[in-house]
Amino acid sequence: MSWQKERIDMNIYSQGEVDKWVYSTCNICSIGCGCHIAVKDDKIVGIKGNGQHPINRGRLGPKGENQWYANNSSDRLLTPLIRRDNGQLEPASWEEAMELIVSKARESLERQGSNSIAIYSTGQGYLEDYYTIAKIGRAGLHTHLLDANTRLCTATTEFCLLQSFGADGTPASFDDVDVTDTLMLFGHNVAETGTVLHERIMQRKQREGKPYIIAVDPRHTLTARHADLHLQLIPGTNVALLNGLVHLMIKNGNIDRQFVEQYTIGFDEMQQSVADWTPEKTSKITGIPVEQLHEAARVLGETPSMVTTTLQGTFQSADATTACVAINNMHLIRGQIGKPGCGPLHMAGQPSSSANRTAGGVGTYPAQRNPMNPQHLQEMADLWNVDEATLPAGPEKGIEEQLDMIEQGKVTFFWNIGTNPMVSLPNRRRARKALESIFVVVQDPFLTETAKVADVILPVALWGEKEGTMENADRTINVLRKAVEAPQGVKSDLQILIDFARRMDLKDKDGQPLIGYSTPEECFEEWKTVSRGRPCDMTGMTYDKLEQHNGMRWPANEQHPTGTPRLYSDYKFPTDADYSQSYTKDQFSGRALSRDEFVSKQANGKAILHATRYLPPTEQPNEEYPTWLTTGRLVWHWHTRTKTARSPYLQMAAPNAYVEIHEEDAAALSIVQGEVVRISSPRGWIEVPARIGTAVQKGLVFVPFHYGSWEGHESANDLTADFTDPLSKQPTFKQAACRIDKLRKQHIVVGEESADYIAEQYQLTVEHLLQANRLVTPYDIQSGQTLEVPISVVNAPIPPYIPQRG
Amino acid sequence: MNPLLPYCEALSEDVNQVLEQTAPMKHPLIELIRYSLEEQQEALKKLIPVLTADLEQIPSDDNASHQQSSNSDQHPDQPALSLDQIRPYLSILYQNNEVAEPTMRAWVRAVHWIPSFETEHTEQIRNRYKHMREQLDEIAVNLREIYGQAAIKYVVPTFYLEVSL
Ligand code: SF4
Repeated sequence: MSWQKERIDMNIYSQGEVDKWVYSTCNICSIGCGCHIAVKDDKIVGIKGNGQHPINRGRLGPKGENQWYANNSSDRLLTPLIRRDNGQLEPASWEEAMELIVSKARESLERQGSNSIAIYSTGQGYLEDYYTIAKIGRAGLHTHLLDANTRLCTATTEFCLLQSFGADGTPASFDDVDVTDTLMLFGHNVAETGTVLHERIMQRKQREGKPYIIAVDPRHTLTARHADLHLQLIPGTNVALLNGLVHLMIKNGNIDRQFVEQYTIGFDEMQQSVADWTPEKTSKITGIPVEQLHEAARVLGETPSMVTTTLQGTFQSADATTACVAINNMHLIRGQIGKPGCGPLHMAGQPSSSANRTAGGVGTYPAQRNPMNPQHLQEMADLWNVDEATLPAGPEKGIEEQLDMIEQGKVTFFWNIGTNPMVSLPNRRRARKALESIFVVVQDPFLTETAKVADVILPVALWGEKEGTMENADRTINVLRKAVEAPQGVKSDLQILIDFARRMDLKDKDGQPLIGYSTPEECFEEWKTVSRGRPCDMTGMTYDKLEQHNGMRWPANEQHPTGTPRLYSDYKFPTDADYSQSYTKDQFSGRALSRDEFVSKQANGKAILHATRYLPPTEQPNEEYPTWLTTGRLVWHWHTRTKTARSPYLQMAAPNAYVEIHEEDAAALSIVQGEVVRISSPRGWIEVPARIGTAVQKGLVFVPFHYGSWEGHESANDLTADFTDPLSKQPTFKQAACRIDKLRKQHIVVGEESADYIAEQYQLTVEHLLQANRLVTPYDIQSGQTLEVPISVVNAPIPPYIPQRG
Repeated sequence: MNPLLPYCEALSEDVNQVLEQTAPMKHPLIELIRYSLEEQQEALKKLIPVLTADLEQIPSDDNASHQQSSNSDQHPDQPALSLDQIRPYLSILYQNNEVAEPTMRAWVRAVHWIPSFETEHTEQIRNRYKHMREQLDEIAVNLREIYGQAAIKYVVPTFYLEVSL
């Protein structure tokens, strides 16, 4: 373990001693830090890190420490709302709201069949919610339209793992990060998205000088600033870079031939696909100097151990799955997988998005069963005691395809659980139009931007008010105990789902209720039987054991009673056709392969190397929109700020959106620091202050995606394009084209007006006035001259985050 | 005549037309669409002769033994072909349409947003895909009638064959 000692981070607001501390897990990001919730007078009054938990040894990041304010927020929804004939959302009873939902669901099923219902859930819920969604959705409603906001965050992790290894489950874990010689953070700004993991990495780095860190990012992020080598590539060129690196590694002879022969298939085809990716060609496309490419390839080719992490810079970029597959290829050809300090560690974004994938609330069938394998569906039918014929088969549809289906009138009922798509979806105005046209149920603790399209809103319990489990980014299952009762009038997601199943009269083959459990723990016990014998076997876990062990990594069963820190240490991969989670997809087009095609590959327990063909981003800077736009996160907020904006501390730290512009681009446009500018794309526009610096490269701007009020004109997703990766169907938020326009008034200088006087009229500094007009001194201002005056200059500092606190 | 033949011929016509229209276009999404179309074209080149050679007759015992479903819900004009003989081609046709149809819609949006791209054939290509979808829907209905729902469940995606409660 990298942590040498514990440090208990704590944030409590309480008069006097707290009544109790309740065992839990942070519900913000996918690191999965252990914590205890402070309770006083039946209210959550704070949080402290769990010093025993191996993931964080008591540490918490700023979002983790401040997540509990949302629980006590005065704007919690405390009653269901129904949109009445007057177009307004008005309070309603649970009875009325649930009956309306049930009647609309029945109507949709009767009129348009089972695939007219879509359930779009979250990565913030609990495994028990996801499993129940899978069961109700597939065995109850027989719909194949189960998706989640995990599509925006971790879909690529799942599909790259299916492609290379035959099943989900990231091979390496945080333990490997602790001992690796080389850590490549590929599109993973860990310093701002997983602060505690970053601290863990940097503590070891300070102690031992290891690992050697390579950061791959078009921006000079906080993570990149701590790296030994920063590969600052041109947006949308991840696969080009990886092809170039693999090309060099092969050329340099850095290949574990024996491993490749014994444990992989597909080497020749893969090798051929990188054959013409010379350093010169790679450099031309990625913008990375040839010497840097050689240095990176040398380090990666010679290092005795290597972990590569990926996150949204890879997942939300062009060629997302192919880039992650190229990373898997790189580990496989070096034989660096299944060994201490080795392996790809494709991250997750949200705290339990991995659990949703595992439990089958999104993507494939529960416990990594292949939706194209009749045996797997028969197993599910037996486990659920339903007729196999009623379980939908075939590859899944992502949210963007579901929007297509709504536009075509094929989906008429949309159930939105624990997510705020009206801020988080790309090209959100198109999504809004689609969702406005159908019946939408929204399950949320707050009135979010998505309320605009809701027909019914159901108020739900938050973290600390319900029990359940989550799966973090490295397969650790953590339990979260209930600390307080949910506010009066509020129900948990699980209670709502069970109530819905009961009202819909969903039954198994014997006429028994389809959902036979009534508590999260009972649900988990059923889930365990579903997981038996599958890669994610959790039969060795119980809620109590999860608490005693401070989390366990699956598989945890008789053979691995305390869990499995690292997958594939026997170099056997789940690629046998009868067992695999997928028959894989065509690596270029994303077409699902048939069983016969998959069998003909003869993987049979070997990992699969794929050809990695580079396809440039769909939208690129052009005459009308000459600048790259990328979006991302701030250390101070999580997703659409539903929780973090309700913490005064976090909200104060970063209250508004902005656009990051390179200083040379700003100078070329004479934009001044803090000047409100308009950023337009073919989808829409926003008006936000400019933050000028060198974090972004020239020709690129960055807008944080957390802000999305309909009134504010600061939503990054008014700009982004709704194109998706062909395999994972994850939207490519990271690459769009945009234009920067100045918002200026004109001022004609009259008589002896001084620079001071003019600047004061417009609440500007003289320096800004001069800069905006490319003037050097105040004496350059002449009577009769027309000056440009920025309409607004906003001081928008974002406080720096100091990750290492000792 | 095999009942699938006219739909496959119509599909083939659409595939060929879109390939022809997109040949001069340079666009990442067109690369993806063409890749799928080329696979479909290949599959149809093999499938159509098989369907053409098929006679209207009850399948031989030999053929019937290849089938996965019970024969109770089979079409009265049962073709001699077993599903196994055409399954690989059908799979390629459907699964490619599953990926290419949304890609085509994305391409239409892309063209609209960046007008310098080729817009000439946008509407025609969109209509071709609509027509292709209609053929695939018809093929699905016929396959269900001929081979039964259970047999085609893992060949034809659920979205082409609505299952109601
Ligand atoms: S790193 Fe993630 S899990 Fe840990 S405290 Fe911060 S937000 Fe929570």
